[in-house]
Amino acid sequence: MKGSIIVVLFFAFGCFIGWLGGGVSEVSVEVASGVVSEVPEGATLLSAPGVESPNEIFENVHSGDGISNSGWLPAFLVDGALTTFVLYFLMLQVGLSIGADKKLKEIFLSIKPKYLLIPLGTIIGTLTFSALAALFLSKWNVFDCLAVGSGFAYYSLSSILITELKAASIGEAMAIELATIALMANIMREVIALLCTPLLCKYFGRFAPISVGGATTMDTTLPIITKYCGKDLVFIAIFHGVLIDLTVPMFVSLFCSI
Amino acid sequence: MFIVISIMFLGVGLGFLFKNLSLLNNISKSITVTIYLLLFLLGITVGSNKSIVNNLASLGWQAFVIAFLGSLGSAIAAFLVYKFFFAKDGEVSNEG
Repeated sequence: MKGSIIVVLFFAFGCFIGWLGGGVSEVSVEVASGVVSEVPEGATLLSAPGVESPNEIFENVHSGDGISNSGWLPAFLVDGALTTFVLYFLMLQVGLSIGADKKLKEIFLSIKPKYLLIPLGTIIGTLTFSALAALFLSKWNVFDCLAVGSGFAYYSLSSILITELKAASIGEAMAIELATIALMANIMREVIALLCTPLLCKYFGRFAPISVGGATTMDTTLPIITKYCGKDLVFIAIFHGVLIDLTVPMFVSLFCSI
Repeated sequence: MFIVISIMFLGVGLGFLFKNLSLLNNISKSITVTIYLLLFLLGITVGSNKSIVNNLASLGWQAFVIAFLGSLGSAIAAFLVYKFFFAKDGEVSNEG
């Protein structure tokens, strides 16, 4: 819970900075990706803040729409080019943390094949019902909804992957919109898992909090699951979290590429 | 899309090989910091896009629909898995 509040704060702070400093409207994003993409990296770096006089900055902030990147923020911040490299760095670290986990072998050895049914149930249940969301949301097709749902509460990774991978098929502006939905939806899912664990355990059985927790059952929701569902589920929860964690980039990229 | 996944598996391999390095014990902290940085950058991209900022309320509603349905679906699936495969043999007891 504390974790998701901090994450929301960082995201909101970024939104505020972007809102203050960027002047990119939906139309100009299309223009920028179509025409200006030929400009070499060095050229965008030269247009960093500090080159312009304070007076021009003031005018740009208030003139806003129409011209691509009319704000004072450098283009590589607004168009998300830097995000790609930071994402690669993040994925390397996620891999390192899984590979270097000293309990990894123990956990996998203590797991019986039968326990695979729990992550399998999580995946099938989530994807089936996420697909149903397309009936209520006319703007998005089934695969868009599946891409959001297959974040399995791993909000940071799923939203970033959608930003990167969906841009090619539905355009950058739509991709960012879907990524924002993915961020909110997966944060909401983590909050649901954290707040509803006692209820879920009572009405849907002992595995329900694990399934709803998705990829977070190895860290953020682990304490509350062991508290309300029993300590004997700790390894099942971690095993489930690790497996779902690994499937997030696969499913999100799969549904983004269809 | 394969770049992202292959970088992660490269990380798994490196992490397994070098798991005795003390540097890797603090990796979860640096992951957290990197996630904050990424979300801040994503926030800038979202915030500078006027068409999204003006529709934030409607996006939140759509997000809730997907979050609620995804949670409900997985809870039902977990209920079925427990009922049909685990409840009878008491392998995972209810004592807690």
